[in-house]
Amino acid sequence: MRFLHTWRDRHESLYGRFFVARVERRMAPPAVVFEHVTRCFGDVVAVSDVTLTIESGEILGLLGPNGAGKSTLTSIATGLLAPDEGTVTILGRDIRREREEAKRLIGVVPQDILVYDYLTPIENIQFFGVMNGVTGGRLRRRISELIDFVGLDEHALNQQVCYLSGGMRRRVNIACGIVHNPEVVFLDEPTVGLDPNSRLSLWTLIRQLNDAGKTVILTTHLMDEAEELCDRVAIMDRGRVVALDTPERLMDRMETREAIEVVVQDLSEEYAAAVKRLDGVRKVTLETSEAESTLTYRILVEHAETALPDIVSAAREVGVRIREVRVTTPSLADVFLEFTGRTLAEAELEGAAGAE
Amino acid sequence: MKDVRLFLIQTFHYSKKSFKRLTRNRGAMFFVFLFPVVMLLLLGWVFGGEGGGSSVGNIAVGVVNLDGQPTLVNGTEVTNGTLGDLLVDVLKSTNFTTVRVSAVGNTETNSTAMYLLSHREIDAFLVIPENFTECLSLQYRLDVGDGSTVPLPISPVVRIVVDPTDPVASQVVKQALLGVVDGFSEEYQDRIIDMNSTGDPVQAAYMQFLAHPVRATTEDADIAVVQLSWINFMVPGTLGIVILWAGLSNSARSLAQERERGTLNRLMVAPVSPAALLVGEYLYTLVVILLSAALALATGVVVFDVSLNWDLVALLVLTVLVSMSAVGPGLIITSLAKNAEAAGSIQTVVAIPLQFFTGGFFPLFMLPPAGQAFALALPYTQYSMAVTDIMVRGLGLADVGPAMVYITVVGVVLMVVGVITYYRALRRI
Repeated sequence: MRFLHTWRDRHESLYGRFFVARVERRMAPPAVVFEHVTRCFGDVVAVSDVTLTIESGEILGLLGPNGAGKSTLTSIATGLLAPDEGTVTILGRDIRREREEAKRLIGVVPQDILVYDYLTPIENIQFFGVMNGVTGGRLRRRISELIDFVGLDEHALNQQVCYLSGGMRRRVNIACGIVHNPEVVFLDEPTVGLDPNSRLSLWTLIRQLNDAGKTVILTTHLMDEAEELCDRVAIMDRGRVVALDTPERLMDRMETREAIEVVVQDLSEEYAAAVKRLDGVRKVTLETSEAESTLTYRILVEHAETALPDIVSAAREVGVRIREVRVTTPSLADVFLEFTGRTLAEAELEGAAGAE
Repeated sequence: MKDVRLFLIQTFHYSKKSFKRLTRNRGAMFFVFLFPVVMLLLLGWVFGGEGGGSSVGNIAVGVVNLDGQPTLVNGTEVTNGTLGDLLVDVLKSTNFTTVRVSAVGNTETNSTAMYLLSHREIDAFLVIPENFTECLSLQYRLDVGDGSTVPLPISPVVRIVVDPTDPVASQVVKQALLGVVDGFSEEYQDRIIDMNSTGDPVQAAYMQFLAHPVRATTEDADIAVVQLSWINFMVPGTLGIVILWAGLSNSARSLAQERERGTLNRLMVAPVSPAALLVGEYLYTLVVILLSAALALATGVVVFDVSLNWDLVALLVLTVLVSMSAVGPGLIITSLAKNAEAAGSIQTVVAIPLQFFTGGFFPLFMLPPAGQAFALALPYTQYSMAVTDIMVRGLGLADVGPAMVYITVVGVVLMVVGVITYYRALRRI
């Protein structure tokens, strides 16, 4: 690797830097490698024989309902949990055997805001910086970088965290997770509970992190978030990775190519059954939106053009009033349904029942 | 070297963070710093230097029986210790634990009553004079001028010397010993009158005139190096309670709070050694303990104008040693408790009963024997007694050596158990 740096130093051009960065990325060991990782809690198998390689510099989405095993897998990767079987390496370092070195390479941004609410943002960042081995001038420089990076308000800097808004606290939470400039960043459901604006600005932040060369492992159960941000998505269900690819390829792998959304006035099981019997219809799911008071049948079809007239006719036959019809492409939610045979909502319900 | 430096920096920052947790929480500040002061003020004003109790059990009394030693009676040297021995037997038949001592002596010579009193080995001592038997058996005669003599009634004087550094206890001991001597005296008078009057009222009146009672004087032993005022003893005595509360309440919540907040998970994914967190927490608690103790002492000086023997090095050494006994159980509680609230409750349940055994609220002799044994087994009690010995009696670290060794051993054992529990709790995450 040294010859590359010498070459880059001699060729201070933009091209030189770009070239070296690409070569470095290709030559670097994978960011995270899970090999046959299994972890049980009593009789419950939380993670089952997961083998997964996360390349350096990518954003990988761990997608799945609650109870799918995402958090357990993340906890194993960050050294919080020991696997019953298998190994995990972070940039070539075993998280169990080379604990200290591996931990220096990872940063964790938890879903909950896990900072000290009696400290100010600066004090929190400073504290977690020191705990991660960053001290002195390097820490001071890093803190000022992070204030700009996560967008902390000037007036918020010296207030105790308990007096800050939810958005500001989340920014502090992120800053504390990446204060030591880790190579691999685990983000656990980072946008849960955020308003749309905050969510968008956090997405921007995640992209910036990735642009800075960091590998991001994003745990989420939000399909649009995974679609928007992730280079690859690993779909988890019942402790296993059931699918792993780019969002586009995952959708390409589906038998269905199109989706028709039929917004109806009233719920009708008769209509759903009638649609399911039609040729070319693969799956029918019902989506409800409390905010808009709508009922939407999402129908996965092979060809929308041929299926649409029959779908509309079926509504007329059973007396269902259609308010709106949309033709869309399948989403990751449809991918999840395709690979697991259940909708995310059903999987969540099952997970919750299992937890009880 | 770099690792050691980082360890120290991490330890310091963890302590600093914990200290801010305290200073930015007014409720916690009250309980840690003001509660001991309020308690001291209340005790100071409520008891006001008096008080006492009626129990005389478990009191050790030294007896310096000089009766039987040669004394001049009517110009002749005589030796008779019969009645002195009888008084000693009476003392033995009470609840007192009697310790025979040969001389009153001083606080330096370890075979004397004063030394035993100054080192808490006895609670009081009683001096029976050389002429005790001679006085009571009417051997002193008065020459009436015609060559004949008549009995000369003389009251023997028994000295009761008590430990003034424990004011409440000394009052009780004083009264109890006076009662014994008075009882002995009355019994003696009744018997001598009965024996000599044989039913003749004139003879009986004459014997009543002759049979003078035993006089008892009470005095405080000159073993305190400071001005004798109740609060001077109360302030160092309450330090054990202060340390118990400050140490236990802070360390008992530490890990439980981190776990409840979820910040422990965050710390566990960082490349920081658990030992840095542990040492950081201990240093923070030690600072709080020292500040609490300093505040309690300062309150005594400012509010009650106490004057004490300020051997700060000895005080610091003892406080650091006893801090292990407060932090160790705190670590056990914080490791086992599910959350901070549970830890707080357990700590309160542990600390409240224990504080009554430290001797800060009432004298230990008022406890039943099992209670006394338990109290003396507590390092906080040993600490309070050692601090009182140093600050009131002017003793040095060497004099409280056994207590210091005991505090250290118990502290180390509790810390080891605490650290093991702490590490196990970290592994459970």
